[in-house]
Amino acid sequence: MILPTKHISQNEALLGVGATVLSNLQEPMTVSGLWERLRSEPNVGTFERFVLAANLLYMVGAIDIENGLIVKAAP
Amino acid sequence: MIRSIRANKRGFHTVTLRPGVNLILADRSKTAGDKDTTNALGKSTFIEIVDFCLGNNTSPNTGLRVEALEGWAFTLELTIAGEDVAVTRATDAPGFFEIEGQTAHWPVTPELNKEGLSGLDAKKWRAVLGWAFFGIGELAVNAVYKPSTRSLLSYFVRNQAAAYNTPFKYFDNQNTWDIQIHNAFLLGLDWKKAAIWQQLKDQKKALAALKQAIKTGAVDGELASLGELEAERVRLSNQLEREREALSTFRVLPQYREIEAQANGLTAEIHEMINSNIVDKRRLDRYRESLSGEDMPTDTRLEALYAEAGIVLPGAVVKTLSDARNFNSKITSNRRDFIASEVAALEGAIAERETKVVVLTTRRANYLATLAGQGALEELTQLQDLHAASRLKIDKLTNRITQLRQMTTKADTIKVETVELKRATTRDYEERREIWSKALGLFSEFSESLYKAPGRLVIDIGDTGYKFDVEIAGSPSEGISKMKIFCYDLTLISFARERGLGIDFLIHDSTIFDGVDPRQRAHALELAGTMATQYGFQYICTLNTDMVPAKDFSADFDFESLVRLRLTDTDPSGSLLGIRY
Repeated sequence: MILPTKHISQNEALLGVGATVLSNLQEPMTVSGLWERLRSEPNVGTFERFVLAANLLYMVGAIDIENGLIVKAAP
Repeated sequence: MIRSIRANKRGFHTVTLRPGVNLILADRSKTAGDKDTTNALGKSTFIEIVDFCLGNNTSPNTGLRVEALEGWAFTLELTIAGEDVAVTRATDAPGFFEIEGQTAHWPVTPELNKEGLSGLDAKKWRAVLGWAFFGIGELAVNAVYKPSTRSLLSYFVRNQAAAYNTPFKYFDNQNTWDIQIHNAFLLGLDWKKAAIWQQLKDQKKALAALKQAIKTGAVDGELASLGELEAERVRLSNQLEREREALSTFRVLPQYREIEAQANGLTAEIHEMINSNIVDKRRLDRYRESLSGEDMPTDTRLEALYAEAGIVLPGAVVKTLSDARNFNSKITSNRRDFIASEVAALEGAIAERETKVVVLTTRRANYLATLAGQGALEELTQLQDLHAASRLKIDKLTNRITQLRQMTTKADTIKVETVELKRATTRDYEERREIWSKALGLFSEFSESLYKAPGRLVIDIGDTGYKFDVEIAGSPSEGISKMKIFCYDLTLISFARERGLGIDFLIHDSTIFDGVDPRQRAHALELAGTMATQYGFQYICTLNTDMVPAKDFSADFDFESLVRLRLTDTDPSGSLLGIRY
């Protein structure tokens, strides 16, 4: 699910989706704002994959949520 | 009676005339060469002088008013209305007639001119002559067509070659009415009938001219039939009635334009709101679609992700599963909240707009209701202008119809009047039989004494008025046609004397005997003499000596005693004026 496998391409793997999410998160954004921006990205696809990718980024400490806005976590 | 003719220059041959026949002869002397001629001796000049003194129309450089006769003045001594007078007219001042003699009883008495001479102007002199010779007062008729002294005189002093072509005309292009009126007057017919005839002809001509003018577009109007015009009038009348109706129910709303502007503003506002609602509803649809299309990850999926992350990224996972669950629920609820609030906001805005649209629509409806059935002032003015234009059109049309009707009626009236006039003239003619039959009798008597068979003077009443003709067996020879004129003129003067008119002279130029057989010439002169004695007039005639039918006169006719003047061609002094020019 996270990494590309024989059946999941690199783009479709959550790691790839997470990269797309991170690259689009230049400033704190609302969930809807970020989703509206990414929904047209080819490798994002469904709202579920977007949320899973966001969860993954949160588990590894790449993003956080502050006052309802998604922000990049400080390194 | 003309007693004498003189002039103010030496050399002029004064002519003294007497009652009866007076001859002016032009001799052809034996010493004169072949190329000399008896022409220009003054035969015609003699007649011209008489005519000049009787007030003919003259124009510069013609007749006696030529350069050679500058300074000449001619005097005619005559007896008119029982008194002897002398009238003098100068070639340089033809507008003035100097009068000497008894004039106290004249209707117009002479006045002194600038030079202190007593006299009359041409118009007044002619009036005196008309009164004295023909019994027509100056104010006899106040009509366009009436006998004129000068025209009447022209039948007694035929003064140009064209006067010797036909008995009833004294110049070539004499108008029909002129011929009719003057001959009717002289023959004792009702000349007024001839005048009315001419007036009817004039009216007919004017009508025709008017029609032609309309046809060519010189005068406004169209030659449509009466029916067409009436149909157009009905159509216009209906239109006029409709306009009148609209005007009578028209109510002016002073704030019409204001209210109209407000209603228009409302319409724009309503449109704008409806447009916004359409856009918002589309957005709303999209949000609702998102709610159903956006699946949230289940707890199982999250746990699976967490487990896999621990394996694939050992050491990288910094959050606990409960943290992850927390985060996930925050994200999903965030998203739900957002959509819910958006949907609510859009629904609210749409609902609010819809309410507003209803309100505005109602208000607009009120405005429109106010405007309905009422109009702005300018609309009323426009309607009134239209109405006025229609009224003008119909007035014009009515005039045209009246005019056309009048034209038609008038044309009919003229026809009827012409027929009636002909009847009246015929009746009048019958009633005057006693009078004119004398003239006819005289003519046939005269023609019979010249030629064996009596000629006829014919008076007809045709569709165009009096018609005159003379017939003498043996016409169309020149001599006979000349004798027709002679007989007619002799008839006129005898008849005039018989009726008691003052005219008492008849003057003929030698032309009257052109082509006439010597025997008839002799008869004519003897006849003139007899009649002159019988009716008391003068017959004055110019002749060339070689035309005198000396052998054909009766034994008791003393021709020599009638000669008043002999003109000769031996030298200029032998001519009437004593000079040749």
